Amino acid sequence: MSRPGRQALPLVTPALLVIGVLFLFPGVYNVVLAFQDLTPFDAPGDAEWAGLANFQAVLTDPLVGSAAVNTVFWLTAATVIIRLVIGMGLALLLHSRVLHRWRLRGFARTAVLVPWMVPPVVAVACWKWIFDGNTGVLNQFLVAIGVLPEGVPFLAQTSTVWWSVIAIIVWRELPFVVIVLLAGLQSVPEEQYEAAALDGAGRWASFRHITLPSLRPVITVVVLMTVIQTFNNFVYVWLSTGGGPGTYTQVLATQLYSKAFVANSLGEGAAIGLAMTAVMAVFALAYLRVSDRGRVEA
Amino acid sequence: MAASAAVALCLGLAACSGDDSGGDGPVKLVFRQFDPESEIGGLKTAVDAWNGSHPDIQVELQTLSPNNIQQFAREANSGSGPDINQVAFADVAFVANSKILQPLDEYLGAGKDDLLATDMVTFEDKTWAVPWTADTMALVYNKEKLGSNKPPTTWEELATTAASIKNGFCFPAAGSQTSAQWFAINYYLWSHGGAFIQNTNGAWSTGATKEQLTSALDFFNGLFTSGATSKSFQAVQDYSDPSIVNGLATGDCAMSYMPPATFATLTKQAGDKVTSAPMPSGLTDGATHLGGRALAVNRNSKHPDQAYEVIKYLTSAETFKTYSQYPASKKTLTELDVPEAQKGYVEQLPHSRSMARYIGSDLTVASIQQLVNQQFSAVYSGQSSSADAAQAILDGLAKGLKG
Amino acid sequence: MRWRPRDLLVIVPTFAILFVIVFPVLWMVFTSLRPASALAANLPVGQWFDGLGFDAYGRLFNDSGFARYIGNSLLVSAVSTVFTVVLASFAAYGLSRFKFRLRGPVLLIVLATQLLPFVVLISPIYLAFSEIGLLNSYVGLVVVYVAMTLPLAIYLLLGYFDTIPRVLDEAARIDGCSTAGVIFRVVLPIALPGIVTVVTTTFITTWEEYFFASVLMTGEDLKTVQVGLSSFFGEYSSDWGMIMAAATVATIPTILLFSIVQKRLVAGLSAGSVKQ
Repeated sequence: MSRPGRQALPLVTPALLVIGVLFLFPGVYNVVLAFQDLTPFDAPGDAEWAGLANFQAVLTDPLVGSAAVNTVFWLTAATVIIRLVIGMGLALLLHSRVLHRWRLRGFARTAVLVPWMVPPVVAVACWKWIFDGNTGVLNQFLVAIGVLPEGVPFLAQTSTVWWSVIAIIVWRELPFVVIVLLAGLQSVPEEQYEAAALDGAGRWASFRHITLPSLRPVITVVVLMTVIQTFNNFVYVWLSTGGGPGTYTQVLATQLYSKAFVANSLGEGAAIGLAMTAVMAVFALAYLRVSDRGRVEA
Repeated sequence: MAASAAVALCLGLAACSGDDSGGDGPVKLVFRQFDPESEIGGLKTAVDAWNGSHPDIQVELQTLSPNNIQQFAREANSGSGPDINQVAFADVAFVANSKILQPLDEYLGAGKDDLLATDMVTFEDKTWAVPWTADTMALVYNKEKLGSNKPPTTWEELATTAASIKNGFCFPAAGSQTSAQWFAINYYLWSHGGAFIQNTNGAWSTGATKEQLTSALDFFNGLFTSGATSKSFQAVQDYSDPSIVNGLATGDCAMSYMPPATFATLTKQAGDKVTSAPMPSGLTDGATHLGGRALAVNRNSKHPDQAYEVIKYLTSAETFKTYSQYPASKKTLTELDVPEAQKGYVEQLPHSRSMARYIGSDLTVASIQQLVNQQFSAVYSGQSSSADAAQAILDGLAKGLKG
Repeated sequence: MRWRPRDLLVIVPTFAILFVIVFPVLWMVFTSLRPASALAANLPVGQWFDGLGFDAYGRLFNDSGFARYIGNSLLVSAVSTVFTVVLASFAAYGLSRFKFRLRGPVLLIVLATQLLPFVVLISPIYLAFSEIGLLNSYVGLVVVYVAMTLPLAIYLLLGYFDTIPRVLDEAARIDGCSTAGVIFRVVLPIALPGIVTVVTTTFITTWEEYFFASVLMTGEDLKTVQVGLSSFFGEYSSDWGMIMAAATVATIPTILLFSIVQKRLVAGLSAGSVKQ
């Protein structure tokens, strides 16, 4: 074994063991399951082989296609981009010396974390209540200030439903992005900004040439992780709209759940899961390759 | 150092995780139920009373909510799980096999004839669970808001009455899988001579024509266009949603429907401003559904005899003195002293029929419910015409029945 | 303090956003305090504050073992967080500093675990745990949580460690530090904001986890907060005051915890900058 390998091995192995033990066997089992016929009420030993039938059933389901499109554009791309933009803005604000001087920093940073501590089930319940077409606070407010003539059922009409779901997801998941970026901002040495200021760089220039490059590794991780977690997320859509109105907000994760636990076909669920895993694996590989190249060049 | 601290922690934790079986003490039984904590105060009292008078059979009441029958199957299949498990009527079919449950015929004997919904717990000539509580959806209304109108006795009457009042009929109309519009839709269809699927001599087929489904879709969509129901209910999934419960309490809604347990919570809040009546056509046999919970014995239970003793106690009138549910026993039901406001439920229950008519095909009831809710919601939100949605329901059902 | 009008450019937008962020939670707390009869929202604003009280909290603590659930959650989340941070620090340091041949595959394996849909993992894990007696055990849940949170922790720490110049490691080595010494004395202190981030994410991820907790911990005494909380959302449930009270109670310990950590973090940073 090479020298760096010998040095890294004792550091990396314990973590790998824990991860491997827990995920390796179930991960392989998921692949096997995709080729089996099994309900959630049978013991795994009772499964029968189904060949490619599960994949065939899933791929010929027209709902799966539109769910895939929704998953990629609405659920994942839109929420991740909005989270990054607002998250970066908020992290910069929270990093500002002004808040520090006014002794508001600690308070503001704790307040930002608040949505994260609300369990998703409760978060969705609260927002559904706020969005309610008759009695929701948001509608009452919008009607009172004259923006709307009467209340709107945000989660039941096709023109607003995705934006409402996005609002819930961004609200609940924004703290993670903010705190990770904020920690990144804090480890950028002050001297770099001072030197740039001496060279006459403006705020925008120092953000572009110092802040962004320093945050690059952290942003890489944030994008990768939020993309994967959101792509696989089931809770928000299921609890807020259940895929409705009609099938307008169906996503792959809700399809997986429906096949596995509503129609009781674990195999079809696993087949969707396998397809989702493959898509994300391709994304992650491509993304890491691009970002690693960026890192070498930087 | 970190490693030794880790080991110490693990040992410390291992000591906490106990397995307290064994020994000659009293028989300990675990009884698991899934209704929310706020609904089971009376059940806890009943279990405590049992434990007080039976030192040799101690019951631990375990709540695992919301309902997760798959968790129970997972546990039973791997040799563990609670001794007694509460199972929703609709779920018994999934766990009715000897790898999961203990057949109860030997214990039940002739007592079975007294029970409601036995068709939901009997499979391959064996009884897999004892029907315990019974419920159905009754019409619930705010007396003041309904005014001089009589509670409607047909669906057509309901539409007319509701349209004459603002928010005359509030109901959960979301398109999600669990959305409770499913019950109203079925009640409507059943009272108009249809059903989603039907079993004729063992062969399953769709049970309604395209015209019947189209008119059902038009009827419910019409509630929104006539103003009987506000569009905001298209985002509501449950009858227990605040917009319905609070709406009935304050008089923002005139009518809705809900099971008795939700009605009980509503009356705590609204007092005698609300009352119940049978659903439209609710006094016609088979135009409403009979739901409820059953009690089953895990095949892994080491003490099935004692478990059945506990079940006998739980299904007795004794338990229902404190547990505010309707018993799924004809005899106990008649012994029950029901407040005036709940008369709608009690009058309707004898005419309700279980969902057994949908059980046994290759389609799960849950997937029919999902398909139907989706298609109705697609019409409300303008994504489909009622004719297209009716066709989509028929196609979906036919495809599912083929397996 | 000197007042500068320009400060408003920071303070106003910050608090505007914070208001939107905090409002739903304030609304939740407010709801939990209102009497059941007032929960219908169409009251005029003037009557909103009539009859506020802690009735719902009384119902909550009388009807369930919520205090016990919070203790369970605190224990499991705290222990998981300690293990995750220690294991992830070692792994991330190894991956950040040594370009060994298997580095790429290791990173991929770690990442791949994040791709698996959890719903499919549950049955095999349940079976395995039932074989080795890890059901209804704190240890079992901690093992799952450590494995679950390690990948993100490793990736996050890797991102932070990569920004720390290697010159510092080498200086420490020349001073005679071992690898562990370099990690604990040099890298971790500099990456403190990153460590606090990882502690926060790990703790919250485990605190809010519902799925594994509900499947692996069914004993009444072993339930976690989320499992307890979910038992207020049932088919029949419409006691929204109590649900919101439970949610508030489930949120308070973490808010307290992180407001404390937050202060220490700010203090630690200013101390660090003085030294520089």
